[in-house]
Amino acid sequence: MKPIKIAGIFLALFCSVSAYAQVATVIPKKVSLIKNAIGTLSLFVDFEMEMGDEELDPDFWITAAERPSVSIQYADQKETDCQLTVNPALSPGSIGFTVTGFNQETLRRFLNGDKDNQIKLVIDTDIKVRLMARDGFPSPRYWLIKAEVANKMMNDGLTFSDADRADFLTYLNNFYYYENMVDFGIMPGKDSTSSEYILSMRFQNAYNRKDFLKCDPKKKGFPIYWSLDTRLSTNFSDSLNYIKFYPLNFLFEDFSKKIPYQFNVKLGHESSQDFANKRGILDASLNFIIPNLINLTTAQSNRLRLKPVITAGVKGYYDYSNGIESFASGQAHIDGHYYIPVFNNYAIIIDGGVFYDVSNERNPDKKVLGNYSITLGAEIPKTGFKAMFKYVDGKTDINFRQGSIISIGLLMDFFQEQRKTN
Amino acid sequence: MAFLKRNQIKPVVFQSLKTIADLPADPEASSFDSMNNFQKHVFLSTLKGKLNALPYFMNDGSTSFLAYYDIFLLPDSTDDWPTVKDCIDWINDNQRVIYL
Repeated sequence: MKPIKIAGIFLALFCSVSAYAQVATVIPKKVSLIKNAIGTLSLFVDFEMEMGDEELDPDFWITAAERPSVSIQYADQKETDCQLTVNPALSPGSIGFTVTGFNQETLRRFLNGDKDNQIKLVIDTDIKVRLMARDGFPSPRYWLIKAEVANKMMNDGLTFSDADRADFLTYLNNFYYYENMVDFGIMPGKDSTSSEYILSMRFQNAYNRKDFLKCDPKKKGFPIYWSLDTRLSTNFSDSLNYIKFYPLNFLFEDFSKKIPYQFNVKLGHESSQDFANKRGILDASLNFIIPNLINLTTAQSNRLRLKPVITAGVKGYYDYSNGIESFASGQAHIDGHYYIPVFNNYAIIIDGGVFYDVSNERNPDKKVLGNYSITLGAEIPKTGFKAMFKYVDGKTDINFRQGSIISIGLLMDFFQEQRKTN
Repeated sequence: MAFLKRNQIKPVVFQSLKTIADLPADPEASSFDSMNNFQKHVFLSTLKGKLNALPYFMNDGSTSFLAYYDIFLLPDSTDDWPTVKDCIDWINDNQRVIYL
């Protein structure tokens, strides 16, 4: 045997032993399903690894041949027109697959308990990953997860229950919950029997939440939803009371633009609590954020100075209030919400709106009218904002009557209200 | 480089916050408490969009468009982060590289 051939055999043997020694077969710590409801809607199958001083090297999978092969299995060949998309993914301490492109049907079938029509993920080849030191220097070590081990973990430990599915859809619907609130107040009278109780509510909810899901992961549905905005009190004739119910709302949004916005169109009914003033309306409005107008923090403050949120819109209405001849007209309106941090712990919250009614019946003087509330409070660590004082003043855009309220609630959630003028 | 380092994540979080707020000298100590849901929605959507738009940074410093960075968020994710610092740390630990 020639020396060069012997050297070649030794080199080959060394390389194969060396390569074998670098690859360790491992079992993931656990598998879980992670939900994403912002941007492209997705579910993520995540194999968490037992990491030491190293982390997974994401460069290794840039070469497509090194990535594991994975497929979607549709039970009983019940395929769908809307195929799911799977992409492999790595985090510093986990290996996974992101699944996108759900519609109503595929979300219902994905990892459900019914094996006959289940859609599940199947890993076709062993998963090989490279490790690297946390300083970013590639390590010569590799981990191998056997495909059958990964598939067994998914079969045994990964389900997407009906409750999970309902939660996921609720998360999607939460986009439209941004104004939901309930507020309760008491307006003390001369004696306990003459006290008035006040309830303010704002709710929005979608009729068809599943329409948020679109086959194309880049698209999101525009479901129809309803909304209710009301202030009720035991004094039915309180000029500040109103009921606004919009059974049809459409919302379009784009947060990728320089000025992120939401465009809202709603059809509904607005009235005073006693229904003396009432009208059917069609309203189109735009939500957007404008630059800050004031700075009341100190240089030492570490508080975010949130910018005002503005809603500008136009409204057409048909007024059929009691005691007048019905008429159709319109309004332009601008509403705003501004949270102003003051020094290190205090805050002023201004909520208000101005409107211009074009009708001679409601606005014969052609004035711009409006209403506002100012709340002074303190941010208490771990308990959030607590209101200490609230003042409401102005004319409502339904009955055009003036009203003002002082609410005093010293670090309490429930206000005590006191009418100043009416 | 591969996974984003904290000093790469920080400007993305700050830029996203600037869509809804002016920042103090030490934004990492700020909390998300006083945001209303519209502001949270704008912040989270912008944050995710900006991370997705980054090129993938290879270990050798070059970039690739065969992968992108992502995070998994829910509408109430800001409730899990007491401060902006916690948000940055969470992204540091939970970022994903998604392969195309």
